[in-house]
Amino acid sequence: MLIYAILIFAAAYYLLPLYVMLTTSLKTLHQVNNASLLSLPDPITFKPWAEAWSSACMGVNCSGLQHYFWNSVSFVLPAVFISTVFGALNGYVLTKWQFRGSNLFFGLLLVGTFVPYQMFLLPMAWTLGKIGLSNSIGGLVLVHSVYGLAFTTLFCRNFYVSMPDELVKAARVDGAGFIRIFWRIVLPLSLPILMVSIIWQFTQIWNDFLFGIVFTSGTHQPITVALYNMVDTSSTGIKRYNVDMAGAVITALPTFIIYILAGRYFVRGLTAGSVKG
Amino acid sequence: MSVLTIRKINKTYGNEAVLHDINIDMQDGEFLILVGPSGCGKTTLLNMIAGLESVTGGEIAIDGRRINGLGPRDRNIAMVFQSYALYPNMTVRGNISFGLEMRKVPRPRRSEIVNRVAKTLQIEHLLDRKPAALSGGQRQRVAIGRALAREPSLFLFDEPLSALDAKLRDEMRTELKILHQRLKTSMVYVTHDQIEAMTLGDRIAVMYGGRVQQLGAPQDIYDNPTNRFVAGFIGSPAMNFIPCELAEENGAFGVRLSGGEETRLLPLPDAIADKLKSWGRGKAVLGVRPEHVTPSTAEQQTEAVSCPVNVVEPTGPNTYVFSKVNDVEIIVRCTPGHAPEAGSRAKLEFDLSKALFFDPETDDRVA
Ligand SMILES: Nc1ncnc2c1ncn2[C@@H]1O[C@H](COP(=O)(O)OP(=O)(O)OP(=O)(O)O)[C@@H](O)[C@H]1O
Ligand SMILES: [Mg+2]
Repeated sequence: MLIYAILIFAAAYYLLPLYVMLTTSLKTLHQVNNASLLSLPDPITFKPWAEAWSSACMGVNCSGLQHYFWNSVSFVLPAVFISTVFGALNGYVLTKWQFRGSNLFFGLLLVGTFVPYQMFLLPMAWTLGKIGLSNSIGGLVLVHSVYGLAFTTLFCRNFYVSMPDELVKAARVDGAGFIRIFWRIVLPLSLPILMVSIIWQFTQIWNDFLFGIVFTSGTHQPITVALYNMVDTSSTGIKRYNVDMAGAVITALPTFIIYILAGRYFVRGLTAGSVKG
Repeated sequence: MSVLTIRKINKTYGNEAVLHDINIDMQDGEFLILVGPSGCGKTTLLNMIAGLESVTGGEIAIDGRRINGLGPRDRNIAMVFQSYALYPNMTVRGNISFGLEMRKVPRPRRSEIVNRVAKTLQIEHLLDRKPAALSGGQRQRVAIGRALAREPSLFLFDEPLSALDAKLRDEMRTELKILHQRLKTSMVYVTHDQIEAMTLGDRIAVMYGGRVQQLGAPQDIYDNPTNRFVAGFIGSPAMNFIPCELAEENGAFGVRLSGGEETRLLPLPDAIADKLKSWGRGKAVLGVRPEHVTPSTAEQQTEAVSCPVNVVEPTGPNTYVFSKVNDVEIIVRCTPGHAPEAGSRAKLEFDLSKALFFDPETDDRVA
């Protein structure tokens, strides 16, 4: 019984902020200012959502989050895709086509997962400037792909280590080459780990604030930075908590949806290989 | 014509040499067994033939064509792996036709071949299943089917039966033998099971420590092993090895054996005695198989040695008696009705015409 009490308490503790965000985003500003934080919206209004989406101001620019939402989508999807595909390829090479020094190579890559974000900033900014990608969506795609590669490689390598080498040998004897084996045999068996990689990368990149604010400005910024600016702008006049909350929910929504769609693979992928299937 | 020629093959991993100077010549249609204990280099050799492992030194030729540098796909071989290595994401049909697809065999021809192979192996009803939905024996068949689909010069098997339970293993062994007799294809078959080696092989290469110790027909290896390792490895229960003195008394040359009481000098047949005399040493290791020692029935047998009967193990067709001669344990094979009782003493007759002698230091055969 106690364990359930603790679990329910923990769940409530984590759900309460979400509850406040959701209810506040559906309240009129009048109710926000005059009723309790925990009260249900009465009447329910979608106006804060509409405003956050299309007319809230970030500084002098009053066109809502929508532009920035699509900004985020346009660099998150390619970055997730690129880092996942190359992570899988790296893992495949590091386990099934080992070369002299491949373990050292993996060790160095692993160090990449320990390097703090902040250390990347200056060298990366310099590099982006040199190759003409500063302040652009392409630049963000590159930064996130490279930074994520260490993680996706780690995931995939550990997954492929438990995949029998004989599968690859059998395919080689059957006449398949490097790419064909990857495409026809290895990749179809990788769904669980690809899901882990996609969820992880999507969450990391979508929620990123630091790279976004450092490497972009103005209309190229991701939604996380835009949200910050929006909240910051509204704080100069009257605080419109309902619009801020709606903006926050909109910003969080994609990762939420990804978890709902692919979450069960996440757990499965993380535990795959630990039990022989 | 030889389908496979292996000349002076060496293999080293880093500084560690795992194969030394392997020479094998294999005739077309032959069933060749590579047998030996774990770690002796069987899989390494097979993988080198397949092209999955690089060759450190020497030469491999298939159908008279040197293939050292070629990849597995260009060697005209098919291989069955110990763990089956079926592609889990494909159906049985997909597994069998994958190799054909990679070799650009047209689709109608592929399905023809799949059906033919499935019929041969009686797996027609399984064609649309995934490997996960198959039993161990069925997976084994599919793995063999995948190899049969292409018509290579050479089939390679790496311990294909070792993952099956005993009964299924016996069945599949017989089936493989029938398959080989019917298809007359050349096969190299790796196993560490000497029974499999004896029953399946046209010829056996016994490997140990990265060397081929002996290459020959099963019966020949059984009767005429070249050294103590081969003698002890082939045959079950294993050959008895008894350290003994060689001596000449009253003009008869023989071995001294003792079961703990009196010591007897058992005379050796002339052919063996001559070889031992010219070898010229006083001590040797006598090798004698369990079926060549029998409890004596006659009371007054001068050629028999009185020995203790420590343990009696009936197995059904045979009963094995554990005894002690010259202070080493030996196993004696008896017919069930004629086994002595445990705890008693028995007179044991040694058929010395079948006896082998080994050098105690080098383990080489001397007679
Ligand atoms: N990649 C490798 N690096 C270093 N040593 C290796 C490697 N692969 C195999 N060996 C060594 O080579 C020797 C032969 O190995 P191999 O797998 O050929 O043995 P095996 O006869 O097939 O044994 P088993 O019956 O257990 O399968 C072993 O001592 C093994 O440790
Ligand atoms: Mg092996």
